[in-house]
Amino acid sequence: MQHFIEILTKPDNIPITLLLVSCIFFTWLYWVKAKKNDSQEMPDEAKMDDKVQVWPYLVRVEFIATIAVMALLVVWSVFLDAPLEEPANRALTPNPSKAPWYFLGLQEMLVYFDPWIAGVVLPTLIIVGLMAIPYVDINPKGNGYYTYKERKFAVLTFCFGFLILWVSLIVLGTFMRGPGWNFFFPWEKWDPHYVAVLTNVDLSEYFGIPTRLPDNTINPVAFVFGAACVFGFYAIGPIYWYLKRNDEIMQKLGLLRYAIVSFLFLTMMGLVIKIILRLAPLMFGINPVKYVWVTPWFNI
Amino acid sequence: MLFEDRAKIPVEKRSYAKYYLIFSGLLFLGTAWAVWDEVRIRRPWKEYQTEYRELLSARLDSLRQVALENRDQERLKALEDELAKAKSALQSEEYTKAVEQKNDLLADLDIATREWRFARSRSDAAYYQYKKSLQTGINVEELKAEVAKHDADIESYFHRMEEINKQIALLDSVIYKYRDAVVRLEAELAQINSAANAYGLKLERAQAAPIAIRQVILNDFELTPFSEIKARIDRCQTCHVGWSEPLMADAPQPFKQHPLPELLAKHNPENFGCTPCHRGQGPALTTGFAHGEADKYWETPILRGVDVWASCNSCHSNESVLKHAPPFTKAKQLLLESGCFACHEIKGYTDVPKIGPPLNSLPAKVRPDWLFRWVKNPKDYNPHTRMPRFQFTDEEAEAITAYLMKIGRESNFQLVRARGTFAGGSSNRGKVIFETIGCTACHVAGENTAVRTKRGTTYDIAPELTRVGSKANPDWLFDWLKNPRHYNPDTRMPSLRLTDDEARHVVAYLMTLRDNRKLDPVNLALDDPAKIARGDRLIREYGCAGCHAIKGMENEGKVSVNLSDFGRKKYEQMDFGDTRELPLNAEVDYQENPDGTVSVKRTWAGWVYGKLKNSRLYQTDRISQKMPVFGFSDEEIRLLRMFLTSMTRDVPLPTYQRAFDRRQQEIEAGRRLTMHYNCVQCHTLEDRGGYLLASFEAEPALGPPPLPESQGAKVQEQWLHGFLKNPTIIRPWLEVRMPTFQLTDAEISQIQKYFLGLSKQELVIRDYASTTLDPQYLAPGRKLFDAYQCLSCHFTGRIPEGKSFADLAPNLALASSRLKPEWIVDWLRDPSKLQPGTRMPTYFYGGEAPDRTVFGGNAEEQIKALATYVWSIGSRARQAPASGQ
Repeated sequence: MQHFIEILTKPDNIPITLLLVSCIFFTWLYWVKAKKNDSQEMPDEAKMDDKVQVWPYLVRVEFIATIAVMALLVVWSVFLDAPLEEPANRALTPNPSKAPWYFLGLQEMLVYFDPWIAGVVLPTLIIVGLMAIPYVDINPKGNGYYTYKERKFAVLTFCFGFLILWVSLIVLGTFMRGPGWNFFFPWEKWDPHYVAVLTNVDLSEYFGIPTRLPDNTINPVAFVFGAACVFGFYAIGPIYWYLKRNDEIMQKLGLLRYAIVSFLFLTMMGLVIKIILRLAPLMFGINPVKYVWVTPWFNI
Repeated sequence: MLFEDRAKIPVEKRSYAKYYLIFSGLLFLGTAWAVWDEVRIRRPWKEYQTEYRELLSARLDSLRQVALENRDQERLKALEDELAKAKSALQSEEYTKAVEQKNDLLADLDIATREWRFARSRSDAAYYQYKKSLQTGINVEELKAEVAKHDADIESYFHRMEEINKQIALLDSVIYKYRDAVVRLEAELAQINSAANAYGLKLERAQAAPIAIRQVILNDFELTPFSEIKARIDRCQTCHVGWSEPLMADAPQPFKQHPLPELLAKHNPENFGCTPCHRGQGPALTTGFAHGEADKYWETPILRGVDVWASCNSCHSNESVLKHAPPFTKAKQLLLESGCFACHEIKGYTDVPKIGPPLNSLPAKVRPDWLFRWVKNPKDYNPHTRMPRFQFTDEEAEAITAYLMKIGRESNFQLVRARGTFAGGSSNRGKVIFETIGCTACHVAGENTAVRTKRGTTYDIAPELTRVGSKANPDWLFDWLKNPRHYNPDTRMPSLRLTDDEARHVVAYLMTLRDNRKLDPVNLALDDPAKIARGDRLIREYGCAGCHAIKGMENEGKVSVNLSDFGRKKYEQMDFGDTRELPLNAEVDYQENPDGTVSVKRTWAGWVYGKLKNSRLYQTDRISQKMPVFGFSDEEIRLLRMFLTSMTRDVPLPTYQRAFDRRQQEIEAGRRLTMHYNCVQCHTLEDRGGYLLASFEAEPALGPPPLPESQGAKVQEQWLHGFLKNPTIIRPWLEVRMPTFQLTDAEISQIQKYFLGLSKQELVIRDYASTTLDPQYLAPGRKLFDAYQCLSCHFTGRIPEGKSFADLAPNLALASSRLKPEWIVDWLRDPSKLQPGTRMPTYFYGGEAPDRTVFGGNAEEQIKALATYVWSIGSRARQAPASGQ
């Protein structure tokens, strides 16, 4: 535990500790407010019909907040010095070699996918997806007030995508990935000589289908199996459309918007499923899944 | 609730004054704190410098007080009275009037000088106009007259000035009569006060010293890992202010004076900085960060204790002896003698001869069962052998023995003499010979371990002979003693020119030195081809050929890792095997626990200590290790570890390194050679060695003579060559013999250049025999030779009878064939400078001759005369050589 506290209180890790605390706080604040609003006819925010000028009534409060933050930062700077590490040396790189903290989620994804998927495709989809939100969000409710009931899907997707996938992967990458990018529990010391079990197998091999033939080319059966798994997973989108096509919401959304949302949503969920496939088997003493679909160009 | 009440107030009416006050107050306090933190808390050096200033001032002040009290009080009083009198004389009418008049005259002189200058200027201008008029022809005469008028003015003002100056000079003679008295007395007073005033001046300077960062910037010191030039900034002297102040020799840190001022004279911290030797983080200004120990990312924390000497290697990696760095020299000696380079590649040690004997003709020398036991554990037979223990199993040792015996049988080595020639010696006489002629310089036999103790290493440089009777074949031993190069053409064992009888005695003595332990008999199958093949593989695998010449393995490479960048290895890159972990704050790096386990600190230093203590310490059931166990002492481990610390590629740029020029190369080659042949076992050379002298503590003069650094300037090259080829007797009273090393001409030349290099001389060809003597110095020389009683110690020709050997000095008849004439002059002038501790008295102390009758007591002339005479003794003797020398 001593080691964990050391890692937690490293000058460059303190912002991440604060990030964790503030995420929990603001989520809690949101739930309290949303619950209250959802239980009454009119949201609290709507009751506040009294309006004042930005200048000076808002600006003065912001000014005071600025002063408070500056005071905090000044005191912080007295206590914590900017962390510098050893001089760069191409012959001796640091271990673990970590990305800036805000990219640790991406770096963590490299554990589960090949670099092409984790480093190019998924980040691109994240950006494209964020840009698409205003165009696919047809729900006008929830503007200017806290609510859960009226925006269940949006809220849950955000909570999942940001809190679980982004923040917790950052936390995992910062606090629990030690030398060799090995996973360490908080009570374990980061041992540079740690030896991890490396028994990952491809999904097809669970079913007795080897991924590669003896001449090291890809087994067409495994290829077809993998493709079937991936496309089967994405087929959930069209099937769901077919089942719910007459619902009001689906009608409003339209096929194109639905296709975009379902593709992005399924990709996000696919990421989680892959993580689970990699980690969960360890608990049961089964070999973890390496890839679902191995192709000559990319691996999923 | 406060906030609920507040919520009832309309936003426009709410007052934020309170919050503004609180937060801006906090910001103000925070800023003030940050400023205080920045200028005071994070700059402890300000406090140090203030403290240092007080400390130094107090010390200087007390020294000044002492100096004031030590003045000659009577004389001081008298001088002060006189001065007062002289000063009061300045009030006299004659003086004051003269000063007054002089001041008036000086004012007049000023005016006259100015007028004179102006007149000159007017004349120049007029002359210009006049010259111009010559070209036009207008007003020529008029202008010429004007020039003449101005010139007359110049003349008159000049006369006026001269006149005034004369009057001033007259007055000055009066004025200076009074003033000179005062000036003289003041000078005398200053003389008396000079010591105190010097301290006073220093005190003033100390108090006026600014509180400031003191930094040294080395713009082009080293390269970054990306091969770009990197500057180095050292601010160590900001806190360590007293490093150069002798008054601070006993002061507490950080004010203490550097303990090695003579070393700093060559590496001046003012332009060399501190971190090039001490490491640490030069630019940092707080203790933990500056020493680099509190900053865990700083790769080169301060070197503590003996480790600091590692830095010498950054610039002096080519040199194996550094005068001011004995631990460094010792570490290099250890490295060379332990043969680390046999298995590891180490910068600067790629071309060193093998340290072990060749193993090609072993059957002539030893029996297989002895060899088997030796291979298994050499330390069992000889605890002080340099051969480390490989921890071979019985089966492995047998295989290696089988291979060595096989190549031995195929060897064409033959004893020259018939079997049994060795027999018939007297062991008692052999013992006397063994102990007097110098065998003990390298070999220990029996109880006499004085040389080993003086040497201070855990190993002997040559085999201990305490059990040799159970090891060596006496026929071989006889052959070996008579001519070591017969058995091993590359051996460093010299011939001591033993006669057959002497050799028989020594063999008889050595054969009495037997291993009296009860050893289990061994049964070896040495002819089994599978065993021989396995022995072959094992020998290659364990790199035996690194130290020994073994037939069939002439081209084996180094079996272990390159150590050239080992010092930069990180703890993460090291495997600690099954050792227990010692906490990082433990006082030791290595600890043997009562339960038989070993704890090692998880650091570079801890790993290296454990490895050198027990090379197989980190061996596990899966990781096998080959490095043999050496059995180094704690001190040796620390020295070797220090050396390993220096094994990095981060070295300063060449401008900061000592140029390894031709002379340095020659000196270094000579050092290696003299170490190889163990010259330093007997002779003291460059402040090291002379271990045999431990046996002559009662009378060092009976031991081997030291070789001072002036040796090259002392002896003639031809003589040294002849002497090394075939040593002659210079000091007949010595029983210890200079052996015949059978050196090649090239090796002798290396030694010549080494000695000459140390004396800063070049090798030149000279014919000393044709040195001409100045006849007018001969007779006075002879006279002085008698007057100074040179013959009370020296002799010419035969050894005088009835003289104790301890009182004798070298035969001067040899001087002209052995010594350089210039050296005799230097020697006579100041012997102890050339050879500290010599018994030769300094006759011309302080450049003065004791005898004033010759050359009017001119020391230089007398020295020349003596040298001429001494030279002439040998020249005459050479014409009619004295017998018995």
